[in-house]
Amino acid sequence: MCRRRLALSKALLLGMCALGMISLAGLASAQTENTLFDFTETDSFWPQGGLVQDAKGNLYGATRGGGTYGVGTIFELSPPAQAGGAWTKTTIYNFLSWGGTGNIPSSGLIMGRAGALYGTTYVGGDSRCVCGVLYKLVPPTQQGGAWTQQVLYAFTSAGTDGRLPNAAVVINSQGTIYGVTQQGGAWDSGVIYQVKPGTGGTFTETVLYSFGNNQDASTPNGPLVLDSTGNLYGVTSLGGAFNQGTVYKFIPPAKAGGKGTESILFSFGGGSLSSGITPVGDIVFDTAGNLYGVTTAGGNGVGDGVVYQLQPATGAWIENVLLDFNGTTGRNPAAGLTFNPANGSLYGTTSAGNPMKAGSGIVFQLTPPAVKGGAWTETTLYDFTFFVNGALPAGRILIDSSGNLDGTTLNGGLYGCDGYCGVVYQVTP
Amino acid sequence: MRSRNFSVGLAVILASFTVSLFAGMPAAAQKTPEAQAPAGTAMHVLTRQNDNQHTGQNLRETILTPANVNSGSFGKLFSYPVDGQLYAQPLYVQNVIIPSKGTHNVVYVATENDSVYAFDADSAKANPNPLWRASFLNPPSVVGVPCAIGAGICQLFPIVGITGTPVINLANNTLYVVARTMETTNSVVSYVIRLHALNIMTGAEQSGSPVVICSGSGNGGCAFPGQTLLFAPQHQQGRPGLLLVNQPGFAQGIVYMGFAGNSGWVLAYDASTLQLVASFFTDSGKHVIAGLPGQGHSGVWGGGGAITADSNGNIYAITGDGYFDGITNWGDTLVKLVLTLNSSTGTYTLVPADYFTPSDQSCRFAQGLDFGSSSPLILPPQGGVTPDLIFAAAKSSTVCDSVSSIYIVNRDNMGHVGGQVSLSNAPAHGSENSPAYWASSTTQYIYSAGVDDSIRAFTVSSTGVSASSVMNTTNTLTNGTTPAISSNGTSNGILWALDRTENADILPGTAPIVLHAYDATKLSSELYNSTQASSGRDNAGPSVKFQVPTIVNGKVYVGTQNELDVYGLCPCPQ
Repeated sequence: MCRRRLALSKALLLGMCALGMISLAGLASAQTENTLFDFTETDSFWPQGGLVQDAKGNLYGATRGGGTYGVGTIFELSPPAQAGGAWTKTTIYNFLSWGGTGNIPSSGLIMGRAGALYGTTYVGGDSRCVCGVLYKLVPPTQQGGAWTQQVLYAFTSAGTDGRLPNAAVVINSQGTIYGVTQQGGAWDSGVIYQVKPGTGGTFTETVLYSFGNNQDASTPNGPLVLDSTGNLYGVTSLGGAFNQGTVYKFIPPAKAGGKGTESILFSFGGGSLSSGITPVGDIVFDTAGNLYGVTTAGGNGVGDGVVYQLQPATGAWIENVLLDFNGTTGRNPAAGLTFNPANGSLYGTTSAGNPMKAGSGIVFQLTPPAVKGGAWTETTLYDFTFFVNGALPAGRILIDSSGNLDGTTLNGGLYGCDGYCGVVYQVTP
Repeated sequence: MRSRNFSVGLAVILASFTVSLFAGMPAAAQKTPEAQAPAGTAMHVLTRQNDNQHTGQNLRETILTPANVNSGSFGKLFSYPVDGQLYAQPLYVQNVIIPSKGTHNVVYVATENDSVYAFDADSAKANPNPLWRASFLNPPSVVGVPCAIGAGICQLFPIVGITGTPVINLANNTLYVVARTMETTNSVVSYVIRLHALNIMTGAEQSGSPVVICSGSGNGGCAFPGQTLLFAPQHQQGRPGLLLVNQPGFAQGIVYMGFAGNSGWVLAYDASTLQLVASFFTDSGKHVIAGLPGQGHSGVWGGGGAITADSNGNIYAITGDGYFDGITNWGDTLVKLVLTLNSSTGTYTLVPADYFTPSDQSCRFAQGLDFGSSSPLILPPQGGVTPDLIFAAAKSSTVCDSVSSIYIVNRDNMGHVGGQVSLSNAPAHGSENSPAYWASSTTQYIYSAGVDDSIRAFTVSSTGVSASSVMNTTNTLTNGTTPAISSNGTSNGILWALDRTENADILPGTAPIVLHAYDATKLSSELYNSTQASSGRDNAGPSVKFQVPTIVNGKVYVGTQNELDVYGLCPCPQ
């Protein structure tokens, strides 16, 4: 029977695991990693996206595989009553493989004011399009009760509607939800949509913008971020002046039915690939209004991607490459960044890491220079070791209420899936 | 075995096609699906990779040429959404009479969510909805099978319903397809594998269809006649395309199917009665060796094309890693199966008449390094000392061999262990996709794509297969590909390939599958790819694995995770 390619050298990897654990001792001693939960193929697996935390310290996330019907779950991970105890995972929703409720949750979650969770699925929903939904998961009114799923919108791809939502959504102060789809729209290159709550629990979806006309940005590849004035920012994997991806800004219409304005802040891939190509994941603002993000490829080194900063400017924003991944530590970031306003640092992950450890990915910190104009300092906080504690971190890092860095890995872990089920990890800086 | 003909309401056009196509051919081959039809007749694609030898060639493409396949005049025309992933290759029948809907060229696709669709092959604008759709689900009691249940590893994700490409028999208007379902009755869950025979005009089940191949759960299953091993449906996935082979005594031929799970299996069903004729398993399950990382169970999967047939109706099944003894265990082996009648009992058996096993088999077993990761390609007769050759690419690793190889096997005398005719150079990781064959006016080519490698062309002649490739594409493909060829006979050859750009193990993946077209006589000349046009004009749906493009009558049909994409000549905006 076919085996996964990485599994071909499983014995070799297991040997490397031992080496990896030895080398971990060489990491900065202040950081520790704790695997909070190992997923299994008999339950649920492949956690997709990052985590959110409620006021009680519970973590919530989505798996795109497993569950009762095999098409994904939403889980709650509760902290132990006593320090050092085991975390408890509860599946709070099993997606159905039929009907219109959507399946294969494709995005990270966000938590609304009343503790409801919002996310998207990549497929399911509309019976003709089967191209994803925006859903809400409402917590039980009584302890121990069941969470209730509600489809807020099922994408149709009809007309200029979007399809295949592939990123987390954002909610503004009026409760309007904004998101993106990977495809659909007037040029089948993705859209920005909004879903507004109406009366009687209804929701109305409107496509605000279709990507892909001429040299426009194309194919959204990460969540939107809202600024303080309600403008939206995001990344696309294609399009732009060099068709290597963009960072874009979208000003929503002032009035319902109006037309918003999209502009490309930066086009990747110009001249050489040193700017990075294929931006991906969450972008973040610092307190000065600079934007930060990652590309999964490109850079001056061996094409392993970069961490970039975009400084506001008239016209195209100015890019500074803060970190050029070169294969010796992390490689190919697949999720975006998290900004810690307390210390000005950026936190992120790479999907692959040191080749000697089977390239399982790292958690890194980028510390800003002490003096303006100086170099940022990268510190590898944790280097994952395949078959031990996770591989391929693909979701954004959550800085939890205790200051730990919590996240998920898509693969790795101890149990099942031929080493591919994934974990929830916690790194204590 | 008794035969029963299905309703014969097929359009006159189809009947005449069948007659003209196979007139004068040997009896054993007369109803074998073939894509190639003589000039002036209709054009169909009825089976995976176009014919039972899995050459992947359509020699009657007169619309698409190297001159007009470029992003200026060729692009994505339309798409049809579907309810699940399309691992099975699209099939195509020309001029099908659809009741109350007129006559259409029809493309048929099957999803992992256990649906079969018939779409208008020419226009989604004229016919945006399926001409018909058949679903084998009835939720919540009958649902698709989650990949993690029984299969062990979610190499297909998330539902494993219909994986193998169906096969169409024009003689009785029937599309044969194997579907898996998870069914709950009185809180008892069973996993059921059925053979369906659908009328290609209506999607209705033909008389006597479907039949349950097996229903069971856990390690329980079905004891097929004459077998000592249970067929356990919870574990079995039917990846190979179905094969329709003519067989004396069987009016509509035999439908062959392959499975991988707790053992590999080849099953033979009477295409008329839908009754099991014979079965063959590849792994007795008695040779698990603790501590070895590999230890597959000799699955019959071959990247979706593990079973092929020669023009005499002999079956060639290739297996993945597993234990080998040449008796009841056939790990990493290309085995020739002959359906043989026991005249005293009136029953049939699939007799392993010959086989080839690579000499590094024990290492493959230990390392999980499948020999049968690719379809065996049966080459046309070549003359010379060994005219009847099979080209078999496989996974490779330096753990087992210092040099990676493709195996050339004589199908008249397969050589048993290590008895290949010759070896050809393979890329470091070998191949997990199937090769293709095409002959220009001067040269016969075999096209094969390894993992993380270019698509390479080898030559074949009466002296055998070239040891090294003679040309290759300038780009590499992350996961390899199963090429398809369109041409007008020996001219205007175009090699088509689908590229899953994401890691095969990151499922389901979100990047659009990329369609490439190359000059088949000069692979370094890329004619087109679907990323060339600006604004994502030609973006396809997200990619699956194992998908093979179907090229027929000026269009290219591409299966993805959620839609069937159709490409062709167009007024293409730039």
